[in-house]
This record gives sequence, C-alpha cells and structure tokens, in this order.
Amino acid sequence: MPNVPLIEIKNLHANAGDTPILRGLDLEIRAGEVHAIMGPNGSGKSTLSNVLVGRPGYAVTDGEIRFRGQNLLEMDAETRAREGIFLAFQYPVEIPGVANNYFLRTAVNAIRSHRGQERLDAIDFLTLLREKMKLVEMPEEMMARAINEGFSGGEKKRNEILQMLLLDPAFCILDETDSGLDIDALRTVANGVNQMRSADRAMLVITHYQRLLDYIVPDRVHVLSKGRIVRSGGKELALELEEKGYGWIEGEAGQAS
Amino acid sequence: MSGAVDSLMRLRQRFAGEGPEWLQIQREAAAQAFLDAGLPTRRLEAWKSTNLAPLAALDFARIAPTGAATLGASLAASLPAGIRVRSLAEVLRSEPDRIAGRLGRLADPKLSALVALQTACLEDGVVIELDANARIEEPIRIRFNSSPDVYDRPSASFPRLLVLAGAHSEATIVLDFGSEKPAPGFTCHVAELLLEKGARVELVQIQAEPAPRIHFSSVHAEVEGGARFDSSISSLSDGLLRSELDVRLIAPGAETGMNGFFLGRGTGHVDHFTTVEHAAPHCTSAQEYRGVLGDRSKGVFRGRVIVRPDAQKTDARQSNPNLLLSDSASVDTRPQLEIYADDVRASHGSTIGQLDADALFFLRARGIAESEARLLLTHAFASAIVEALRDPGLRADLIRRIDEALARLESARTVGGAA
Amino acid sequence: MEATNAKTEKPTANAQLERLAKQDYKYGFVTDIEEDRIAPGLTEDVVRLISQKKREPEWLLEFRLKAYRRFREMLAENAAGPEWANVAYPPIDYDAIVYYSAPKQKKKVESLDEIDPQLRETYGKLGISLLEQKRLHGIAVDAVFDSVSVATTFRAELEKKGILFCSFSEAVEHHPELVRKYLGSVVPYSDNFFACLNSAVFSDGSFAYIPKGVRCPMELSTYFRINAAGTGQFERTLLVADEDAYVSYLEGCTAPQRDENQLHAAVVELVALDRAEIKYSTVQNWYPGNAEGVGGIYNFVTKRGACRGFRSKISWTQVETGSAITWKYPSCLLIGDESVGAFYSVAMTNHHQQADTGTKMIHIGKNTKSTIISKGISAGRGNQSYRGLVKIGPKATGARNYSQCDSLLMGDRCGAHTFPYLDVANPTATVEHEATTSKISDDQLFFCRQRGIGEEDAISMIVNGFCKEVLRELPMEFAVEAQNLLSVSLEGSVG
Repeated sequence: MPNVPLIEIKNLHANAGDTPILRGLDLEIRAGEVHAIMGPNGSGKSTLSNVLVGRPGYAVTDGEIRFRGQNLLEMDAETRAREGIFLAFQYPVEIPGVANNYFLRTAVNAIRSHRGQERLDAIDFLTLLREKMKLVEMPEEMMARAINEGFSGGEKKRNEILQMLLLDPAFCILDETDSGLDIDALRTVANGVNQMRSADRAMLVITHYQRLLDYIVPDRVHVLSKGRIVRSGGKELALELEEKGYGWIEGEAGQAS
Repeated sequence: MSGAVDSLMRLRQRFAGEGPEWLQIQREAAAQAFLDAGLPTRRLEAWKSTNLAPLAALDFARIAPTGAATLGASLAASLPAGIRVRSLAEVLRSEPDRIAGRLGRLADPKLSALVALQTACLEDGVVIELDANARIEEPIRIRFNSSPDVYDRPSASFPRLLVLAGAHSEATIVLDFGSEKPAPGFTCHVAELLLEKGARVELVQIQAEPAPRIHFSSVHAEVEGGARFDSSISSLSDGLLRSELDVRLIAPGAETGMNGFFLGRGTGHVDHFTTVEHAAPHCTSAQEYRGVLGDRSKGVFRGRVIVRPDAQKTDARQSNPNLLLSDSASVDTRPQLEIYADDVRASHGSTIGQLDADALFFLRARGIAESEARLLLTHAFASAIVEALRDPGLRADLIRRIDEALARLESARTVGGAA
Repeated sequence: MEATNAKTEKPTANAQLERLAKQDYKYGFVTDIEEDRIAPGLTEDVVRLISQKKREPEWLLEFRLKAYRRFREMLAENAAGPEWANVAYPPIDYDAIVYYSAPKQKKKVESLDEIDPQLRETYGKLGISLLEQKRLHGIAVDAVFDSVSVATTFRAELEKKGILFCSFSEAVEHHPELVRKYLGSVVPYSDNFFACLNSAVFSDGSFAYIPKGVRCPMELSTYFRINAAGTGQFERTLLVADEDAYVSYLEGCTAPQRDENQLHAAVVELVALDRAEIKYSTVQNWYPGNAEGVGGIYNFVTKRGACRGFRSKISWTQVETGSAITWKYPSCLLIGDESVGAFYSVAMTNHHQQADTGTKMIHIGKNTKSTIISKGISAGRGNQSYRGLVKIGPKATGARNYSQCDSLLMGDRCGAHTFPYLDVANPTATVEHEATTSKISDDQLFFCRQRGIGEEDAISMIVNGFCKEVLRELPMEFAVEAQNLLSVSLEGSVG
C-alpha cells in the first residue's frame, strides 16, 4: 500500500494533564522517511511523542492518528509497541533488580508472539543480542546488570538504541536522544540509528538542536511552535534555524496568525 | 508511692487553685491523669531504654519558679512591632483569653505521664506571640537557670513555652538550659508551637544542665500549609536527659527539619524520642540526629515517622549516625517508619561505628597528635548539625560549647587511658 | 463528544492491580481421610496423652509438663498472648483447639511405597512426590501431615554418610541422646508464649543431624500440611550440624481453605558447631484467608539458630506469601567467634493479611557478622511490619551488621512499617541500617509497556526485581516456585 502513509496525524489536539498543549497538529510520514521535529522548549515536542505511544496522563481532545490505516488511539500502550511503534525515551527509567537481558528477551518475545513469530529461546536470543550490542558498542557485562541501574547518561541512551535494534520497530520516535550525550556517544547512537534506516521503516527525530541532524540526516524538517507545525522544509531548514534561532520562526508564525 | 510523686503532688497544692478557671481544670485533670499513669517505667515500650528510678527517688523540697527564665532585657526593649515575649504568669494575669484554648492544645496529658505532671504543676513559663508577617532576625534567647537554693535541696521546675506564630511570621527562638552549680533536681519542660500558614520558626534547644539534675523536655509543634518548623537540639549534659519532639504537618506544603546533636559523657544518659506525623499530602520532613557517646554514657534515639493514609507525595527522611568512643558506652537506636499511603518517599538510616581509623591515621601521619586528631574528627561529625542554624552568631556560640564538651570528653579519655 | 485517548488513559500500577482477576488459593482442598484425633482442649491430661501416644521417655514428658505449667501461668497473666506485635486478631480460645490429629494408616509401613495412596495423592497434588524414583533428584523430603510425619524419603542413602534425617518422633525413639542434648537448648521451653505452648503439645516435626565433616549431598526438606479441621499444628524441628558439616534445608507449607482460623505454632532450633554451615529456606504458603479476610492460618512461629562454633554460619531465607497473620522472627545467636548470621526475607501481604516479621541478630562472639535483607510488599488492605533487633554485646569486639529493609506499597489502603532495634554496647562494632519505602512508579510500568510487555507481566517483573537479592539466596527449585507464588499472590490485590 504505497499510498497509505505509515503514520498520519490530523488536526491533533491534546492535553498534558489539564493543560492544552497540541492545538491542531498535522503530519504524515511514509515508510522509508526520516522526519525531524524541532522547536523551542514548551512547543509540544514531548507531548507529541507521549501521545503517539499512549502514555497515561495525556488526553487527546480532538483529531485523529492513523498507523498503517488503523486508528492508533484505540490501542493501549503495549499494543502500539507490539504493532511496531518504538519510543527512545528522553529520560530512561531504572528498574532495580530486573536484569537487562531478561527484560529484553521478555520484550522481544512479547512482540514476536504478537506477530505470530516463534519465541526465541535463551541461546538464540543471546546470539541476536550479541550481534546488536556490537553495533552500539556496549560491553557484554552490562546485560547482566539491572535495567539502567548505575548506567551513565550515555549508556542509558545506547541501551535505548539497543532496544530499538532488537525490537525491530516499523516506526521509531527518538525523543531528544542527543540530550546529555558527548560527541563520541552521539556518533555511536547515530550510527545505531542509521543502521536502522530502511525502505519499510520510518523515523521521527525530536530535537531541540541541529547537532544530532549532522549525524542523522532527515528527509523533512518541521518546526513546532505552540502546539502546531508552523513551518516544514528539507534538511536545510534545520541549518537555517541553527543560524537564526527559533525567534525568527515564531515571529513569522505570530504575524501569520 | 515514690518520694517524687508524693512531694510534687503536695507542693503543687500551693498554686493549683490560682489562675483562670480553665487552667485550674486543666491542672486537676492532668494531676489525675498523672496519678493514674504513674511515673513511666521500662515496661513501657517508649521507656524501654531509660530508667526514671533516680527521679522517682527524689524527695522534692520545692517547686522553683521558672521565672529563672531570664529574657535578655535589652532584647525585650528592642523587639520589633508585632512581636511580644512575655512571661506566662503575666499573660495569665493580664490577658488569659489570648491563650485560652491554645495553652495545652498540643501537649496532651493523656498521652504522656510527664506531660501530665508538667501540666499539673504548671505555673509559669514564656509566651511568644508573632503577629502575621512579623519578623525578627536576631534570635530570641531565653535562658533557664536551674541553680539550687542555698541548702542544695532537690527542686523541680516546670517551665512551659507557648509560641503563637501568625501567618508568614519569622523568628528564631533559643532555649538555653543551664545551671551554675551541679545539684539534684528535675527540670520538666514542655513547649507548644502553633505555626500558621507560611510561618517560619526555628527552635534551638541547648540542654546543658549538669548531673545530677534530671532534664525532661517535650516539644510539640503543629505546622500549617507552607509553614516551616526547624528544630535544633544540642544535648550536652552529663546527667539523665530525655527529650521528646513531636511535629505534626497538617496541611499541604508544610515542612520540618529536625536536627539533633547529643553528647554522652560520664555516666550520662541521653534519650531522644522524635515523632513526625505527615497528616496531609505534599509535606516534607528531614531529620538528622547525631550522637557521640563516650565514657560510660548511654545514648538512645527513637524516631517515628508516621505517614497517614491521605498523605500522598510525602517526602520523609531520617538519619541517625552514632559514634561510640569508649568500651563502656552504648547506644540503642530505633528508627521507625509507619506508612499508610503508597505514593511516598520515605527512608531512614542508622549507623553505629567508631572514628574512621584511616582518617585518624592520615591525620597522625601529617603530624597531628592522636587526641587532637580525634577531636578534629569528632568536631567534624558534630558540627554538621549546627551548621544548619540560621544565625551565624548562634552557630559560632554553639560550636564553641560543643567543642568544649568534646574536649572534656577527650581529656577524660586520655586521663582514663593513662591510669 | 471528546475524542479520547481512552485505551491509553487507564493504567497506573494501582489501577492495573485493581483490574486483576481474583485468583483462588490452589492448595485449598481437603483430603478425606480417617483421623485419629483427640478431643479439643488443653489440659495436663492432653499433654500426657500426646506423650503416651508417642511412647515418649519420661524426660520428654517432664519437658512438656514444665512447659504446660509455664504456659498456664502465662495465660493467667495475659490471656491475649503477646501484644507488642503490630497485628490484630480476636482472642484465641486455647481450650477449643484439637492438639493431636493424625491420619490413620492401615498398618505400620515398611517402605514408602506402602503409604496410604490417599496421602500419597495429597502430596502429589501439592507437587511433592513421596516416591523416591519420581522425586527431583537431590531433595530428601519429610512429609508432615497434621500432627505427624508420614514419610521420609532417601533415608537409606543419607544414612550411608552418617546423616540422620527422620521425623522428630523417630528421633526421640532412636537417637534420644541427641534429642535430649539439643532440645530446648536454643529456644528454651519458657522462651515466649507460643514457643511455650509448642513445647507442651508439639506432636511431630523433622530432625536432622549432620555428623562431623560431612557435607549433606542433597537438600533436606520438610513439607508441612494442615488438613484436619479445628486442629492446630505444633511441629518441632531440630537441626544439628556438627563440626565442619554443611546442610541446606527447605521447608514448605500449605493448608486447606477453611472459614475458621487455624493456629500453627512451630518451633525450629538450629545448632551449628565449629565451622558448620546451615542454610534454612522457607516458602510459606499457608492458606491466607479469602479476599474479605475470613479464615486463614495464624502462623506464630519461633525460629532460632545458635552459631555455637568458631566460624559457624546460619542463614535464614524466607518467602512468606501465605497465612492470615504471620508472626515470626528467625534469629541467630552468634556465640562462636567469627560466626556469621544472615536473614533474607520476602514477605507479601495482600487482601487482609497481616505480617509482623523480622529477625534478631545477637552478637556475642568476637568478629561476628550479620546481614539482614528484608523486602516487604503490601497490597490490598495488607499490613506488614519489619521488626528486627541487632544487639551487639559488650564483648563482641569487631562485630558488624548491615541491615536493609525495603517496602513496596501497592494501593492506598495497605501499610508498611519498619521497626528496627539497634542496641550496641561495643565501640568497635559497625552497625548500619537502611530502610526505604516506595511504590512501583508509573514511569517504570509505562517503560515496560512501551517495550510491548503487558501490565501483569511488567508488575510481576518489577516485583521480582525488587525481591531479587532475597530470591537469589534460595535453592534453584524453590526460587522458581517462589517467583510464581509472588505473581499469584499479587493477583486481585486491590479488590
């Protein structure tokens, strides 16, 4: 179905708690495309990613979201994940006592079962895990440790990308993945993401800065302001923003409305 | 019946019929409650580690006027508008209605036999009133001097402090308990503090009456929304000392900091019992009590943190590190969490240990004598508590007094070690 | 109309728990078997009758009678029993309890294969095979049914190594000198209310003796089953590890589902001599009562180990998910220099369950060490308290203790309480206690769901992670059972 977008957002209005944040957002992303959403703090970037993955505490008050033509808003969070929506969290949580490898195998098998694939046994899983860990340059001993417990900021982000590689999603959302990363970690993370680029997968990169887009080059760039996309363009738009700052766009948007 | 109970119940008759009627009724009810309960014994869980037999044995010759509370005269003159510091006796004489329904509201004779005794024998004390928005930077210092009469007969005193802090008022109050001369006796002190919205009150207690005088203190504070109550207690006495602190956080945003330093010397026995009750959501409490026990002294810390069912988003922390400096010293510590709400952050920790041998060695390797090195490390351990005080002058004063007490402890150790 | 994100809105950890279906207690069945039981009531005659039925020697009868008389005194002082624990229950009528009930076996059995098939079937349903060939290799079982031990497996194989493992009654018959030497030496008959009652009326239990230098080649295990109505179970376990011996011992418990509360007051005594090591593990799954708090076992147990020898070690590991009320404090007396005690505990209270549990570590010898790790999980209207004493005596130079008590609360009607008692009378001791209370965070739960893991699995995973430090102390077979139990016990937790 080449004509159906992978994800289709129409006139999305959403609240974080009781506060209206998104006020009529439209966005279409097709398989194979990488889109970037940029915007100043408070523009609604995180709300968008949270609404897409169905996080409690966010309510859609109007509009619709379709994923492969299906109504996404009717699915609960785990179903969205199993259908192939993946969020790399801005602040990955720590879960004491739960070993990374055990957690990852549970997640991989939950998703495989949903897709009608056979569950992986411990040996097969380990083979797969080792292969993916190399891509993000994670030492093996980290797998026996509890999820993110005692991980540095960079290690947590790598762990997110590792999960993305393992779960093989159709639509990846990277929420401020560059925040708190030094340049080496940023390269490694970007390398993992670029490995994932393919014709049947789409990505949405949410970021405040241009920096990450030097390593993950987007097909389209959108600027979010006050809960709406106020400007879209090619990858040059990100460079322009870097140069002129958000005030430029917001000023324009203010005049337009 | 013990000598103490008999003599006190007899002595109180001299003034039991004085003052407004409501106070007389309170006194009588409290006397009855005290007689029903008797002096606490170690059979009570709350008194398991502290023996009041030395108190029971005293035959009191008099109840001393608590007027020994000397207010700095200069301070009284220079108090800013909206702040009044008066003796309780004076307020009872001139304007008893101002404190009716407030005096005795928090200190419940039914919950504690010694609070009952204090109320039964209540005659005088200090009333501090802070009008809404009234502020005073300089600490209000009150000194309680329990010097004996010329015959050195056992005397008891029952000072009461009542603090009425209006909305957004601010003050630091220092209670300094001391004595010029060691003598048998009993100081039984109760304080009640009512903090209205946004008030900030810091209460500093210095408990330094020497043995053989027995010191009991029971402080109760109720803290409204957005208000903050800080308590700092330094127990420097070498006698039998029991100090209770009871803080209730009753509206969202109430905060309390409860700090204590206790030093055990000689055959001293120091027992701290704190309770903080989170009765409303979004309240914060942080407690830190540090103990240093030397010679043949005993330290006791018992801290209860209670989180009521609706007190979600509570943040409660408690910590009680102790240093044991001698073979014959001991410490009992009982931090307690009682939690009935699920969305809370509560933690407590207790440690008991000796001075860090590595640190001690490091200092000696740099040429510092062992006893000096020990003092240095103990000082560092103790001063963390005092550094939280708001007033720099008070901080310096207290650190000096703590250092003196630590030096006495260390010199006793050195002398004992050489013998 | 509001276009809501409805499906995604619901779950917080609590909402999820509330949604979970009620799960029945799996072991609630009753075995219909002919019983030899005596009339209810506690009198000196009953004590004599129990002793007589078991053909006990005079000294043991004397032990029972001393305990009986002391118990009567305690009862006269305070009929309610100990009141300091943070649990509430109506007074127990000690004269309404049946103190002896045993399944009538057709004849004396010569081999395990001759055991009443009905009994065999009961244990089969509980997942315990009494037939050696069907057992998981590596575990010897003593099965206690109501008041008596009905079978002990692998005995012959153990005897080759000189290990004695049998029912308590058989130990009294065949090894009276050992029983007499150690019985009551760790928990004196007058120790406390329930231990005193047990000392008067205990009917059976397990006994094991590991001789000098022997490492027990398999796990020893006792499986306790209360079946009869109106009875109490009062078993007594005695384990002695001689010099340089090692044993790992497992204990499991279940009971039928009944509306009445039944009393289980056991005593366990462990003795470790020089360099001996005892690991004692319990998975306690007595009937907890129903979701409304009706019925269930009162589990009032005294467990204590004495590390008498130099460098001896005793560790208690417990997973407590059952019982209406749990009252137990497995303790260590660290007498021998350099001896080591440990207590690892997971306690879960759901519905109306109450637990007051913890440990006592009494440091007497030099350079003794103890570790306490306690994990409490409260859900529903469950209430639980950790109560633990660490006592460092004046002569316990160089003693060390580390305690960590963490509570996890699920739902807003449960409670978690921590009452540590640290008494230190030696300046060279190092004692550390830490406690925290938290809940499963919505962020953790959402993170798992975003990775495709359903809520039930996510909660179970997080709870097991919370308990990990304790679960890893359990022998393999038990660890799996314990994990499953934790998941099952959580279901219907906020109903």
